[in-house]
Amino acid sequence: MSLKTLSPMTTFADPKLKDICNQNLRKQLNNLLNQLPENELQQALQNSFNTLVAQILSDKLPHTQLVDLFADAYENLLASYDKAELTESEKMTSYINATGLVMSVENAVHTFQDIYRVQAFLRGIHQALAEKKDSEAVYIVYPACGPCAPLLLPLISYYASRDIDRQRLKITLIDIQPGAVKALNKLISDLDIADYIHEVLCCDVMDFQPNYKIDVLVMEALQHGFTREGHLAFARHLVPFLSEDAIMLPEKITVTASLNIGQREYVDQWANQERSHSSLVDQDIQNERSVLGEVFSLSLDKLHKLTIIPLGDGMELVECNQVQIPKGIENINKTSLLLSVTATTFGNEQIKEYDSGITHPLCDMSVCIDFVPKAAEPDDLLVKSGDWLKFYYKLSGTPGFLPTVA
Amino acid sequence: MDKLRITVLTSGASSLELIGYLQQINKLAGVLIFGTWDQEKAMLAQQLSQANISVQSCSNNENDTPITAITSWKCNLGIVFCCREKIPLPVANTPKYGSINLHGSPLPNYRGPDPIYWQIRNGETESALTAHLLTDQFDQGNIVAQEPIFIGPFDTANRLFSNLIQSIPALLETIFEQIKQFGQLQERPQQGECLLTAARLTEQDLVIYWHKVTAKQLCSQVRAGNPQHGGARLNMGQSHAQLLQATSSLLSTYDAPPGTIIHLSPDQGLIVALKEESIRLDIIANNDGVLDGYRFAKVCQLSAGMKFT
Repeated sequence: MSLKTLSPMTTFADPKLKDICNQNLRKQLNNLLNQLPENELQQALQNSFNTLVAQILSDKLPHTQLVDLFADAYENLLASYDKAELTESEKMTSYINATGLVMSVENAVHTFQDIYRVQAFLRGIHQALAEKKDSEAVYIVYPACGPCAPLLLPLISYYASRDIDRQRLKITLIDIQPGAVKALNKLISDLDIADYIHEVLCCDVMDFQPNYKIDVLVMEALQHGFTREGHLAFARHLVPFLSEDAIMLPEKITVTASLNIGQREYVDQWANQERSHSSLVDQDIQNERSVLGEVFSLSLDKLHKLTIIPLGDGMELVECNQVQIPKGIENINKTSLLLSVTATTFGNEQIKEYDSGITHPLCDMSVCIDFVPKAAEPDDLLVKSGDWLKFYYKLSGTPGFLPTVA
Repeated sequence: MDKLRITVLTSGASSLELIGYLQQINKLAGVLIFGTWDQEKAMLAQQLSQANISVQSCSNNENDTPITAITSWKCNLGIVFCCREKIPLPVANTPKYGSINLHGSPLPNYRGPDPIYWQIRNGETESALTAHLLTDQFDQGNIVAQEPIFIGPFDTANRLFSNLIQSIPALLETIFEQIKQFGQLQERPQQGECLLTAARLTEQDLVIYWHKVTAKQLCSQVRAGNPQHGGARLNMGQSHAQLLQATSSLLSTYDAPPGTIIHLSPDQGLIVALKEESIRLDIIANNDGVLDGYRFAKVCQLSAGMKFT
């Protein structure tokens, strides 16, 4: 058997959007590209982005309508990306650095498929900018934005089509991947939004030292369970550069711990669904969960009050909350620890559990409650019902939570 | 001195080069093939017969057949080489000068059936081809002659075996000179303790223990298993591949757990974290073929952050 990676049983992306990635459609797209003149492609891209944003700002759309709008925009986005003509190295390089995973540009493009995440940010940023309407200039920074800056640029394209805030918004886009910056520049040109762009930087966010105060920080550098990418490290680094009344999006990220049987949570719950979403969860299975409590939350206020524990070699721990494993739960030895993220981008705009790739509950298999694993792993933590779990957050190349027995 | 007539006692085709050399120098009496008859032995026997070399198959623990053959071939020295079977002492003692075993290590270290694998795996840089007398205990007889051999940093098991083969003429020259000068073999006891052994390889020996192994150790493990054993086993979930070449890397792991892919690119390839250092996986084989690390990762849809188990 050859080595293959396992696919998740459910996916945040609608199958229709995933299909766009397949080879056949790519070929069709290439044919299309060869037929359409450059300016028509740009027009199609701008139109699809503007229609998408106009619709999602005006109302919360039914899923199928949302998918259709995103599918159209995504196809045009891929056309712009293809035209950027990235090299194999620019597209495929991925690595871990001091703050976390640097995803390949090729993978990062697909973030746009995560439609409820994109929608929540676009709506949230629009509302946040409305709060800044009296400011002469609004400096927006979007670190680790990837090749498409998908949480912001569709909105800016929409603004450009209506000549909104053209001279007022000053956007800085940052990505460490040269290929991402190359694709971004192509996209900015195709969207004709250069007037809004203060700078596009190819650098590590940790090296970014702006000579201006950031008014709006748009950031989403995390994977499910608030792991793998450098979101918290980036946020800590950028705090000194925020203006007094700065807005950070998401306004709040909350991580909650719960227990459930993996088969029930990840398999049975989605057996009859072709996608996952908070509106599609099985309430009976959700009721089977034992909610332990909030492990961590991140907001501007919390960011100023983090307790940091230096461990040497550049590694640090952030002290988080502790939760108790309940006693008297039947089959608790068959349950796993789930870490679930929910995010409020701004105001009432939320990304709930299962709405997005980043809010899929993460199963931490290292915590063994009332059982000893047959095949022990070095990271195993053996705990009992009634124990308190104290969590720390690792600021390292593999950021994520470190549960300990309190 | 009688003309030397040598019988080779073996159980596999790896002894062909020794047999060919003895025939070339006109000292080969015949070949005894020990062990349960299989395709490899049948092909060896057929090949020898076609070259007009006397050959006799011998089942385990049967003395008459080999003794009769040795006697009828007028053999006066036996050489055991690449033989996984125990040779009965009465058989070994039949030739006038007795029988010697050629063992691929500087005995007393690396006694056992897989000395080449374990010397490379342990990062040895010096080996030897040792000729020792047969005794009741495997690889423990007095030493008759020894030829030192250098193990290069890129030597695989096959390379080291070839180097051992190339040292056979020099080793045999020493033995022939002893017989010529003294009329018998000049033996000396094995010096020192056997501190390192060479146990028969199991599948477990091919597993990579990411949490324990150092980059140097893993490079040696992979090299030792290349090619016969498919290097070392690469596992992710339920899937497996064979790691055939690895090289130490200077990339920091940034505290990524051992086994985590910390870098993947066409330029630098596939680099994985170990406990305190990192390693580049150069060549990997699976059902798709033999690929470099980057291509393998791409075919298998791997990316940084994923973890080998």
